[in-house]
Amino acid sequence: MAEISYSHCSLLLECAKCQVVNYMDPFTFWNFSGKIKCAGCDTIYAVAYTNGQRVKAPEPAQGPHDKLPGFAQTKDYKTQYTDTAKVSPPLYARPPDNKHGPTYKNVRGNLVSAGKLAATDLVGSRPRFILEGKPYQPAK
Amino acid sequence: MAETLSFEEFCRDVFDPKKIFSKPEPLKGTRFLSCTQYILGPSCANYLAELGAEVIKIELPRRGEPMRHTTPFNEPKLYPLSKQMPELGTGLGFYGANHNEYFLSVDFHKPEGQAIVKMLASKCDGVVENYRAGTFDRWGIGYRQLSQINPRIIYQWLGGFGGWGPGRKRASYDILGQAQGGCFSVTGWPLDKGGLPAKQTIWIMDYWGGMMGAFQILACMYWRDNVSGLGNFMEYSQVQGAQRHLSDCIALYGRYGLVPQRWGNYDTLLSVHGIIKCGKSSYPDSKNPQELEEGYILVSAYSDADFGKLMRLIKRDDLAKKYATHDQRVKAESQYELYPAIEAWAKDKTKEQARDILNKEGINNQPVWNSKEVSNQEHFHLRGELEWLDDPTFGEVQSQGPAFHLSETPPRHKWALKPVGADNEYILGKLCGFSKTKIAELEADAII
Amino acid sequence: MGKNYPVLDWPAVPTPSPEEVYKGESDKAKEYALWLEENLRQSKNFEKPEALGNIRVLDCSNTMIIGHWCSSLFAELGAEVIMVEPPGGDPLRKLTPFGRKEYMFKDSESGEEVGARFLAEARSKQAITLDLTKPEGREILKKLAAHADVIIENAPPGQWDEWGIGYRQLSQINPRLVYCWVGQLGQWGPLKDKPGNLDPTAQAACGFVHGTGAPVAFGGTPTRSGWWMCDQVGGTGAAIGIMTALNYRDKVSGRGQFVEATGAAGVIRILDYNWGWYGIDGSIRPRYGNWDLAICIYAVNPCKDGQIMVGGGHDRLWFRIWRTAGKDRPEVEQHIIEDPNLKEVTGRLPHYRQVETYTTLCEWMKDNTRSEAETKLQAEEVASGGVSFLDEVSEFPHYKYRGHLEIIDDVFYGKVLIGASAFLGQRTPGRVKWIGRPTGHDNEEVYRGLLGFTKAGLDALKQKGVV
Repeated sequence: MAEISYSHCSLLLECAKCQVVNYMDPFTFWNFSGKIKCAGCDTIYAVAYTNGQRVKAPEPAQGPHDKLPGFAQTKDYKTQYTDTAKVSPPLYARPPDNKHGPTYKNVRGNLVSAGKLAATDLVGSRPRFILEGKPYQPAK
Repeated sequence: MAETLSFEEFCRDVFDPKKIFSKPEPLKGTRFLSCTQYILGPSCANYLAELGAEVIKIELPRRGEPMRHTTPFNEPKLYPLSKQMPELGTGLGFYGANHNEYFLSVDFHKPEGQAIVKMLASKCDGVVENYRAGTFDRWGIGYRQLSQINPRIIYQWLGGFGGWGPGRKRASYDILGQAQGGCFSVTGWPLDKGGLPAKQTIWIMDYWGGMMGAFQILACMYWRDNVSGLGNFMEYSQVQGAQRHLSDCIALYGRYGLVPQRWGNYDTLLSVHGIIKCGKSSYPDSKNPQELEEGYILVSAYSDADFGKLMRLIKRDDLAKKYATHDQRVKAESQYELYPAIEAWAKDKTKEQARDILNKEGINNQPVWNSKEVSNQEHFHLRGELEWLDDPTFGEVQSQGPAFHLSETPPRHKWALKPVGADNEYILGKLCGFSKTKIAELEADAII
Repeated sequence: MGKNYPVLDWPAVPTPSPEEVYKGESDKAKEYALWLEENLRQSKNFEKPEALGNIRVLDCSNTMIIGHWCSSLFAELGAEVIMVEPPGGDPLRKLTPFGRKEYMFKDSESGEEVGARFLAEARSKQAITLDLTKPEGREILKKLAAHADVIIENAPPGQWDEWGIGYRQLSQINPRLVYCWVGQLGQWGPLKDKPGNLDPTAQAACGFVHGTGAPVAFGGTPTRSGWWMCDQVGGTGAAIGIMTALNYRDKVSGRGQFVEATGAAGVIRILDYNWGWYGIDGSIRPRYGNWDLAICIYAVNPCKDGQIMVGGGHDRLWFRIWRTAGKDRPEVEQHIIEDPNLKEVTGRLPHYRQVETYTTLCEWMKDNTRSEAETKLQAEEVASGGVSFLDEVSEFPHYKYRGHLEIIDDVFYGKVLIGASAFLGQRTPGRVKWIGRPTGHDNEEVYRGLLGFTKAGLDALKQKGVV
C-alpha cells in the first residue's frame, strides 16, 4: 500500500501528531471556523474553511473543541474511530443496543418473514412457517 | 338508509376499508406488462395493479431487479428473494411499487425471452416500460412492433430525459431530476441561514412521475374504449416533472426575471404559516436517539383574526399591532421577526404541549410527526391509508394504502410483493400455453 | 416596480437545432430518436385529438392548489374545466410572494391582478363566480352539476352535505356525476381537516417534513418542501381516482361515485419504505440530508460553485466515479480503492463509510464547478447533474428543445412562460390553450349558454351577490 499524504487536503485532515485521518464532512464543515479535536489523539486544531477550501492550515490550539469530525481512521484503514466521544454520532433508526438481526416476528409480535431462510424452509417460493402460521424454527 | 347517517358516519361507511374486498375492481379484465426497474416505471404500472388490472412484472431471473437489493441501512428485507436464493431477501426499496403484481422472470436480452414478451403483449391492454429509449424497439418488442400485433395497445415509456433531444443519452435518477429540474433551488435554507439545499425525502420524481404516467394511461384507455378504439404511445420524462411542479416559479422568472430562492420552513405566500421548533423533546427518556430530538410544529394563523389571537397568546401585542395586515406580515423581514418570537414562546414546550394550547385557542397547527408517530395514528389506519397487510408470502407487514378512495370501486392491496419468478408457471401456462416440461427447459436454459 | 433589472427574452440562448442535436450520428443510430420526434413534438399537438374532449369538470375548490392541480391535468388532456369561485374570486388569486404586488399578472381588459401560484393552475379553464353560502347559489350549483361529469370541492368536512349539495344529494340529481373531495388530511376521521388547513399541514402530518433535511449531526432540522408538494401529489392521486371512476362509469356501470383524495394520503403512498420498516422492527426512518439511507453513491454534495448530484450504486459506476476524480487527484482515487472496508457494495452504506466516501469525493469536487464536474463525470457515463436555479433551468438546451417550458401568448395576460404539459403522446397529447381567465369572466357564457339564464335574470343574481 503506497503511503499517501493528506496533509495538503482540505476536508481530510491528517493529524500532524498521530497521522490519523479525520474526515470533515462536507455539510458540517463546508463553511466552518472553529476548533476540532483529532479523533486519534485529542489534539485540538483551529481550522477555517470557506466553501470547502482551507482558509489557512490547521493550527494547534487549546480546547474545548467546537465540533467533532464526521469520522476518522488510521491511514492503514485498520483502526476505525466510531465512538461518539471522538466523532459525531451516526444515524439511528432504533436504540443503539437494538442491533439488526434476523426477524421472524414484527413489531406487533405477529409472524413476518424478515430473516434468512434455507431451501428446506420453503414450499415453492413461499416460507413454510408463514403458510402454516407457526413461529419460525430453523432446521437443525 | 344512507340519508339518515351523519356525514361522518356516511363517509366511514362508504369508504370503509373493511368493505373494500366486497366491491368490484375498476380495472378488472385489463392486463398490463410492467417491463420496468427502479421506481419510475414500476410505480406507474403499480397504480394500475391497485385498481385491479392484472399487471405482470417482468424481471431478470434469480436476482430480479435492482430495487430488490436496495434497502435502508441494508437491513429490512423480506425473505426469500427467490426460491433459488432463500438466504437473500427483497429490500424495502422494492416495497412501494410492486403490490398486487404477478412476477415473471424472463431474460429478455435473449431472443427466446423477447419472444415470450411478444406473446404476452399480444394479450395486453398496455405496456409500461422504462428501459433506455430504443432498447425495446431494437429487440423487436417496442411500440412499433407490438402495435402491429395489437393495435389497441397503450404503451407508456417513462425515463429520465426522454428518447430525443440533447440529453437523450443521459442516465437519470430521481434526485438528478430534482437537482437539474430546480427542486433543490426552492427547498431548504436561504443563504443567510446556511444556504443548504434539501432533497425531498421521497423519490418524488419517480413515484409522482409514475402517477402522472398512470393518469395518462387511464385517460388514453378512456379515449380508446369510448371514442377511438385506438391504442397510443406516450413518453414521460422525469426531469420535465420538475418544471411542471414549479410552473409558478417559471412564470415569475419569465415575466420578471425573478429567480425563486429557498425559504426554509416558512411560506412565501402566507404569514403566519410556518414550521417552528419547540424547545423540548416529546420522549426525553427514550432509548432511541431519534426520539430525543426537539419537536417541530406547523403554526398556521394567516388571517387577521387568527394572527391577532396568536400574538396575544404569545404575549406579543406589539407584533399584533405592527403586523396587523397580511401585507405587512408576509414580507420577508416581517417573517424574520415573527417566527423567532413564536419560537421563543415554544422554547419550553413539547410539540404536544404547543399543539394543545394552540388547539384550545382555535389556532390551526400540525405537529411534525416521525414515521413511528404517523404509524400510530388511528386516523390513517381507520381510513386504510396505512394498513397492516396480511401478505400471503411474507406474513404481516405494515404497508402504505392507496393514495385515494372510491366509494364503489376502490383500489386495494392484495399482497405486498412476491419472490422473483413466483408466478412463472401461472403466467406462462395461462397466457402462453407452456407445459410444465417446456417451463422446466426454459428454466434450465436461464431464459426464465 | 423596484429596481430596473433587464428581463431577458426567453430563450436568452437560442434553442439548438435538430442538426446540432444529432450531429455526427449515423442514420441508423438516430432513426428511433427521430421517429419519437415525429410523433411527440408538441408543435403538432393542436392537429391531434384530445383524450378527454367530451368530459366536463366543475372545479369548485379554492384556497388550496390540490383541486386546481387535479383539474389542470384534465384540462391538459382536453376536458372542459369550469372554475367555480366565490364572488371576488378564489382568495388564492390574491397571493403573491412576500405580498409583492409588482410580481402579479395583470389582465389587460379588466386590470385585475392575479398571483403566479393561482395563474399556473388556471390553464385552459373557464372562470365563473357563485356564492354557495347563499341558498340560491346552491340551487344554481345543482343545475350546474346536472351538466357535469366531474365535480371537485374542498370545503370543510361535511359543509356541502349540510348545504344539500354533497355527494348524497348531487348523486340523486345526476347519478353519472363523479364527485371528488380533496383536502389535507381528510373529510372524515379523527384528524379530519379544520377550516383553513393548508399545505404544508399534510407534509407535517404524513412524515415528509420530519424526513427531509439534514440530520442533527450535520446541523440540520426537519424541512418542508419549497412548494405545496402534498397538494400536487394529492391532486394527482385525485386525478387518478376520478379517471378510474369515469372509466368504470362509461364501460360498466353508467354511474358515478364518491372520490376522496388528500395530500397526506398521496404522500404516505409514496414515502417508500417508512411504513414497512417500522412494521418489521420498529425502526423510525431518520432524515439524512442529501445523502441516501439505501444507496451510496447517490447524493447531492457541495462543489466549487454550488451543489451537485452524483449517482452510482453498483461497482461499475463506483469505480468510474473514482477514476474521474483520480484524473485530477490521484490520491483521492487511491484512498478509496485501497480501503478494504469499501470493497463490497453493502460495505459502503453504513453512516461512517458514507462520511468517508463523500468527504473524499468532495475533496475533488470542491475544485470543480457544477459544469466541470458534470462534464468529467458524464464522460465516464456517470449520472450527475448540478443543482440548478430556475434561470439556469429555463435555459437548459434539453428542456428548450423538448418544450418543457413554453410561452403562451395569452389574450388576457400577455406572454407568460410556463411549465408545459408533461403529457407527451403520439395520438392525444396534453396541451395548454390559454393561461387563465379573470374572475367571473365566463359568467355570461356559462350561465346563459349552459343554464339558459336570461340577461335580466343573470343581472339580478349579480345584484344580489349570488353570482
